[in-house]
Amino acid sequence: MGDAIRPDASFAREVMALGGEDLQKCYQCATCAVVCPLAPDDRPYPRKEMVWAQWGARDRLLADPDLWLCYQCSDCSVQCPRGARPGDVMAALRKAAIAAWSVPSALGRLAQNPSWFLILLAVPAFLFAFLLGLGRGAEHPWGWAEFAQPTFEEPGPGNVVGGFIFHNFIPHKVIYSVFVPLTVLVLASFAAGVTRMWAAMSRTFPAREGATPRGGLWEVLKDVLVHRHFDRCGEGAFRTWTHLGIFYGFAFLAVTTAATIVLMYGFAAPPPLPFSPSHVVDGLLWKVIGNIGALILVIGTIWAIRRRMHAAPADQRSHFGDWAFLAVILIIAVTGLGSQVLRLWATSAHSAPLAQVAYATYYTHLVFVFYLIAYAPFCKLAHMVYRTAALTYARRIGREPKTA
Amino acid sequence: MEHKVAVYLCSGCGIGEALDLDKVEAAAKEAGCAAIARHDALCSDEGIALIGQGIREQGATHVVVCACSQRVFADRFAWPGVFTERVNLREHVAWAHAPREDGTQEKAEDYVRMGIAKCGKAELPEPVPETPSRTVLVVGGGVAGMRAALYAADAGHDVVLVEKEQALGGFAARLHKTYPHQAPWDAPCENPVPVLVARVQAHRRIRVILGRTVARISGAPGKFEVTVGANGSAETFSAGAIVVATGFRPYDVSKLTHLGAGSTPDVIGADRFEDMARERAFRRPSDGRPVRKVVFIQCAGSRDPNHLPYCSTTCCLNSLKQARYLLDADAGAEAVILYKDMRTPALYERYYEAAQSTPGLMLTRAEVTSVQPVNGSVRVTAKDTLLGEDLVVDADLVVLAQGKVPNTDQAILNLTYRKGKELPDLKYGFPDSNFICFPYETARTGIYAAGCVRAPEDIAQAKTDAAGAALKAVQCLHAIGRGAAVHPRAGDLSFPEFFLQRCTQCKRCTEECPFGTLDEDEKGTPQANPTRCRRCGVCMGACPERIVSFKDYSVPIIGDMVKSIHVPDEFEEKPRYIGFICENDAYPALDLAGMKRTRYSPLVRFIPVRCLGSVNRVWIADALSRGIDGILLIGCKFGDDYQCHFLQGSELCNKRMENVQEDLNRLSLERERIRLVQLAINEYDRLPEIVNDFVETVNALGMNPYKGF
Amino acid sequence: MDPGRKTLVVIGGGMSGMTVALEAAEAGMAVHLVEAGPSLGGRVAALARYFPKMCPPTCGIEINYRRLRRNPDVVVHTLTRVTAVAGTPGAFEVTLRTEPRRVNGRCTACGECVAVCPVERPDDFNHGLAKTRAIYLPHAMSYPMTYVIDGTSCKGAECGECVKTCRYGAIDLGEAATTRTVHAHAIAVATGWTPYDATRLTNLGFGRFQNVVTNVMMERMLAEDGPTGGKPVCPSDGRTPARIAFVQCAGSRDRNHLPYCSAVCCGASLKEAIIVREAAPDCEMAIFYIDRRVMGRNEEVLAKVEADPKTRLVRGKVAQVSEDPATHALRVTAEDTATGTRSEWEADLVVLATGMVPNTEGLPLPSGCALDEFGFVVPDGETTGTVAAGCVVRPAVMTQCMQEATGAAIQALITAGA
Repeated sequence: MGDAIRPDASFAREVMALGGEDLQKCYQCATCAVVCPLAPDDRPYPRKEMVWAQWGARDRLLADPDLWLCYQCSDCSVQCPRGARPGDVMAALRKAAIAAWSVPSALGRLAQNPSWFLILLAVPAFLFAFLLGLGRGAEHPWGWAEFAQPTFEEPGPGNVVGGFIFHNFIPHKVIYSVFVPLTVLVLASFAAGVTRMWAAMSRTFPAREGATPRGGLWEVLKDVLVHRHFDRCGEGAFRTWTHLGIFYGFAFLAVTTAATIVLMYGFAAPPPLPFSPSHVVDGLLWKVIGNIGALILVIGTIWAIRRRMHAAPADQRSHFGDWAFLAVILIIAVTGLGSQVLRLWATSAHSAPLAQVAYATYYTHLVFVFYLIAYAPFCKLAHMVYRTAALTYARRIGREPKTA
Repeated sequence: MEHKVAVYLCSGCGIGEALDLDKVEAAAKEAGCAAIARHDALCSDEGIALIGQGIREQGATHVVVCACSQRVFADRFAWPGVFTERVNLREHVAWAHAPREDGTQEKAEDYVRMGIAKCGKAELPEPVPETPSRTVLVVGGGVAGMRAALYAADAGHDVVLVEKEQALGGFAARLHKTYPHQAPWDAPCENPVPVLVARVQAHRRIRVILGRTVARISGAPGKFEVTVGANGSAETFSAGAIVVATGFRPYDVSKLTHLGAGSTPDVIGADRFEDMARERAFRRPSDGRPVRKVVFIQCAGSRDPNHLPYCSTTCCLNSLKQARYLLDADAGAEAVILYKDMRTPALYERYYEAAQSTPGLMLTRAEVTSVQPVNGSVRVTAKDTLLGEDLVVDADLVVLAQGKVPNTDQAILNLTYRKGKELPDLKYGFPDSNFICFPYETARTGIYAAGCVRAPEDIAQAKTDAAGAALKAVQCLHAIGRGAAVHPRAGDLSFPEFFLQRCTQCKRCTEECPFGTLDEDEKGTPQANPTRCRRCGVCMGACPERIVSFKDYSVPIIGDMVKSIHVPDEFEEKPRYIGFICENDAYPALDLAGMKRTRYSPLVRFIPVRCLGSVNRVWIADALSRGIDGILLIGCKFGDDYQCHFLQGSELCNKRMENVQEDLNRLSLERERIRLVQLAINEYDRLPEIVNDFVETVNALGMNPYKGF
Repeated sequence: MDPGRKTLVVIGGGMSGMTVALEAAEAGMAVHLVEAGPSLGGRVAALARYFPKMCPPTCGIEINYRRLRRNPDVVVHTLTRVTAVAGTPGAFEVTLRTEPRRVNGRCTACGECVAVCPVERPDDFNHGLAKTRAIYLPHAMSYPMTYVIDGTSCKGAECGECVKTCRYGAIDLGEAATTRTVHAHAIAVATGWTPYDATRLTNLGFGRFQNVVTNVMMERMLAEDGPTGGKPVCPSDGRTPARIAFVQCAGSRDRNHLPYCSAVCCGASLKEAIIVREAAPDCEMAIFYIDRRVMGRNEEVLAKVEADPKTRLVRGKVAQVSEDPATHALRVTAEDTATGTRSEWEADLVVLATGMVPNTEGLPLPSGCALDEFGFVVPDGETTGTVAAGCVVRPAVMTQCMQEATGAAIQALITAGA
């Protein structure tokens, strides 16, 4: 900071298009900065962000760590005398920041554009369709061939219980050959994006003289794990539990996935199929964790959807991106659980048509998981990474949410 | 006609308990009255009937009602053709002093004597109704002038509207649009001027004179002689009342060099931007390139001690409107408004809210630090923004929202009045008036100011003003038809008479009249213009020869009251003081003190006067030479925020005190024996302190040695 | 009244209503001035001083009273409401319902009755900062100067102490309401305003914290004839406050409350700050505002307050007031938008500049006369025969009300065809 601001109406318009459409109604009374339970006393948000946004102060806003100190409880929007909805503006600014810092940024802009949603979803749909088609006629027929005639396996070394297994539909190595490079790319993208953001923050908001650093990543993670600031947001416990549900749902699922990969490829463990008494620890445990995660995710997501549907008019406004995100994770959770249940049902009923339904569900699940992972650096989920990074930066320059 | 005075004593409301009414009655008889009666509630139907019966039976011409304040039951204690004097034994005596004490009793007796003494010379005013010209002259053909003309004409008066330009409309005719003055508040509105012009031109009672100015106005309300135009084209007509609506001119932008004026042609005034909008040509004056980005700088000249110290009221709303001109015409354009405070009061807030959302509009509070041409654009730098940060905007055009200057600094009325050709101003060129309570009055009776000449205002307020000024003009003519005074002594039928045989042409009355009522002939003899007069009596107070009199208020009448006060001799150790008090504020304050049963020294005899400015020096000299120990004068506050109903009455009285000190010197009396106090009506709690302190101070000086002479 | 005159009914006996009535009467109309309360004077009678001249409003009221006393063409109806309006412009039939005053015209305002009345009631004129007896004089500048009995708190005939004491036979505890209909050529609406209910501003603590008062209460405190004799006082313990915070736009300019600006509050708080400075020279003050809206030459008043070293003007809205329950000391929280710092400011007294709500609920209006979305009258003298003036049209400072009331008189004159 320090340089004079040069107003730029085009960025103001961009913010309005991203969901801050009432931005210009703000007349700078600072009610928002007073009612915010988290804003620090020194240069509190979101009023200054409202000014910057009105002026189109792009560089400042995108590098503003305070964007990420806000958990959008919408107290400011509820109490705003003008209906300028500062909470929504902050959310729009976070979107703008994600789009701006993510690599490649062009994809960031597309991912936030509702009309591109289906096109982006079509990518994994075609990719997996293509991969499944590739397997036809090979030595071990899988993919569409398997789908056409599901294989009922008798119990054996790889499958203690026996029945229909997804591995026959899509071999693990195919999945991993897709998702492992994808994850690497996504992590690289995140790394690049966060690096860019960090650099911009250091440039624009260096530590003020005399500021005392307040810890770093570890403190942030501790806060995140218990949602320490989240629940101080004026809206209260319900939203915290909703978010915690989604958060821990993902966390459990991530743990399951990671553990499985490590066990299967690091320790040559069999796939964690159920009912394998010899693999309680390395199989069933992860299975249970994964299922709990999925259930929490479903409940959290449904809560979140309900909350958004019943939001008061002054409360935060939901945009396509919010609904799309919730829809995607709900579909992932439901298709994940569904794949599992349908497969077991097909197995116990010895029913090939049911197995086909299970395969189709599994296909859908993979497509949406791909969507979620591939576009994670560009859509709403990215806040997980950017917020953590920004909160870490904020702590480094001595800035953290106001304590109660 | 012989004065037959009947005295009625009320014993109610504690008066009977506080006073020995037998002795009061005896004092009244001694003072000389034709009849006297007592009742325990004179204000009751029975009491009123008693007085009415007495009037009929005894043929009383004057009734002295010794009861409560003249401010209560005024409607009951009134009989046609009978002069009624109210002696305030309740609020000013029984409720203010200890009951049954000598001081209280003596004050009551003096008050009754004074009331009777007043009736010796006072008579009911005889109004002199005149048939006024029913024509209203409106000077200025802008919105206020046209509206005033329409109101007066619709109310049945002929109107002559004089406009110096060749067309009606005034400044507002330049407006492309106006900001909304009523719901819906969402968008600029059509300029109402063309419709107004058409209505004015079509009105059968309105005569419009264009391209001329008023060359001369002589006469007085009801009979002004107005000359319009000059030389060969001059014409003269009569008018009864005048509305001044000469409007404003935009502040000269070229003086605003600190805001970049003159540094580049691309810094213009808001008036020029209005022209651009009207002509739909948003092009830079410097190179003709289209204007895509404009900065509006608010308070350009206004709220600035170096230019216009006042707020020009409309500029915030106007810039919000002007920004929309450009943004509505060009979706990609940008407008920045830099303000000190966004002043969009009352329901105009709705327009601010609506205008704020215009795409491309940016608003911030800021203090502009520099405006200068840089690389073909105009760079505006500002500080003290809403974040304490600096702001730099490179714009195609900078619009200075310049303020409003009232058109009063030029020859408008050319009155032939002794006290000047134009309306005296109060501050910043706005005409003097007691602007809260008498908004449209000026210091010249029958001449009312409306529109931006009165205060910076917008089209809606100009309409309100026009209605108000037109009403006052109509009302003035109505009053003249009854021979009555206008505000603030509305309805007063008395008027000053001048006994010119004794006039020494000292010109004090003509100079001191706050309303320019009196003219002079070649010798300097005052010429009364009763319809210009507000009946304050300042001329009466000014006159050293005591030649100015009202039928019910004159130097001899008050002089007799002074003389009627019983002055005990030196050895009785009973000092006596007179308080001349303004009847508008000090008298009600004494009443309120009485109502609160506040106690103060009973040694002061209060005499209400129309205005402290009407106090004649001779009363004071006479009183002191009769042994009165001191004179207390209580009047309204003066100074910039004066409260005097007659502009300068109390201040004039204060100035005259220098002359009064001469009298004191001549009599070898201490100057502390006279004190002038400024008192507001609500400061009645101060009265005990004021009265007691004065009494103690003068007591300490010893008795007036002239007692008994 | 002269039967040949054109008649105007003015609804509302505050400063605007009185002014319309007098200006019209002095221009030749016959006027019924209808006031719902027991005295004329309206909210102006309760003000400490006039903005910007700092002169007492009672002075202006006295001018009007004096004009009224002299003018037989204005008939004043107090304790009276208009219950119905029928007819058309030029020929209205207006129904007036007068509530019992229970004290008649024989009252001399001697006040003996007050001493014997055993019942106390909160003094509405002083916004509950003081009490009156059930029989009371509305205020020192009452018009008519006649006592009134509050029917809801008076014990009635079972007590009757005042009846026994009154020497003038002025009390009639059994008086009933009366209804009459008057003919009118035109109607003027000047019913004024009511302060916005400050208890709705939950974050500002009014009603919960004793030392949070509204600006109309502050006016009474600062009035020489007010319950505290013109001094600012902490209601919790009667202490003189060492620090006072003025909270501007308390409800105004707020879509959750009043979405319009109430126009008077900036001037009122500046004025109050000046009076406080006279009454309490050491008092520190802060005025928290969004925009300082004092128009025209009133800029001088702003400059005067800005020059006061112990008064701060802070641009930032107070969105939170908290109280220490033990000491009743208050903290107001605001962000100073000039510096971007949010801070708590300690105050002994917090004055909420609450806004104006038009008094039009339940007001019968002639057909065609409209109210806007907030209840303000949209005057249209030309078509409906109804004119309006004062704060019932829009929030307005006193000077503007007087101007508008004067102008309304000529509209009434024209409408009535006088």
